[in-house]
Amino acid sequence: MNTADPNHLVRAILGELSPEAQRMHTAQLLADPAYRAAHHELLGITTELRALQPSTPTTGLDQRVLAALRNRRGVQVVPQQFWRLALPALVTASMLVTLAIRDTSRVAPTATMTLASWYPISTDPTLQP
Amino acid sequence: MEWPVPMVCPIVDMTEADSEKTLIEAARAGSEAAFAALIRRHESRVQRIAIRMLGAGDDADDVAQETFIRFHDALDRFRGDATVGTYVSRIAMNLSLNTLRRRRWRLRRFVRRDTDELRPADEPAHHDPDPALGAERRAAIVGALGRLSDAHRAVVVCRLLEEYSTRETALLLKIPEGTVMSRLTRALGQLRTDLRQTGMGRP
Repeated sequence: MNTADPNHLVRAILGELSPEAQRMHTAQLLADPAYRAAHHELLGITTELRALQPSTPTTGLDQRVLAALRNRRGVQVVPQQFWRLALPALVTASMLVTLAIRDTSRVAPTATMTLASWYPISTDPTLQP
Repeated sequence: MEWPVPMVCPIVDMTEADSEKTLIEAARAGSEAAFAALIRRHESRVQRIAIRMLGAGDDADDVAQETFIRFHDALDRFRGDATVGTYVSRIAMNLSLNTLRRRRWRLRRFVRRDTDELRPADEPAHHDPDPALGAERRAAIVGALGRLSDAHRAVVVCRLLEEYSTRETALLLKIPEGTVMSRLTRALGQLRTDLRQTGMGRP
């Protein structure tokens, strides 16, 4: 075992030592009380940590996730619904505008005359460009 | 009058023998039942990671929920290089670390850093099924675990408590394998020192 490796005790606890390193680890455990105490202490902490199991709630996480996904999908659908309604409305409006332009062409002389009556063309030569 | 036969959704057989790949394919095709089955398979591990990192409460619940929402978003990109368990664990760990960062940032704004007021919120809540482990000792260990840095606690949770291999832990936390071992050694050393200082060290 490479005792210079600062991680060797942790590797031993995790069972990650090579067979040769494991044999040397066992030999040192038997021969060295300080080494044995350090190993014992770390092993104890590890075991106790593993014994602490968090109590996980069993409150239908799957249903909560699915509901959240459905809600989010609902929010994303709004723009599509908007365009589904808005596109026909825009087409109809553009058709109406076209018709309205044709209609105004029929009344154009009247409109022109009315405008002319509002803004009479001046015959004053000083105002000519 | 003949009533129309109701449309039946494609049935996903949820037996144990079903491979995860089948469930993923079905979930990709839009089956909520398949995705719910995937959640049920992995929820316990995800919740444990969140609780061990953040303590039981709203934050851990939010992380667990958000983990599976992100997994759902990533279903099309999931190629199966890692198992679903490892994949969702990685998401849960990243979200937990982000939450811890946000929580610390918020607390630093309002609480002086050198007070012990930070501690109770940081300590993960645990339920101990082993009656042999005394309540005082248990509290000391949980407290010491809560005082580890985020990076060290993440390694302890993944390698020691969730029992991922060193390689898996390295992939999960995106750090080299050597760093996993050195952080674990340092974390255990710190736990030992902490327990000795609180008079809970082993003789």
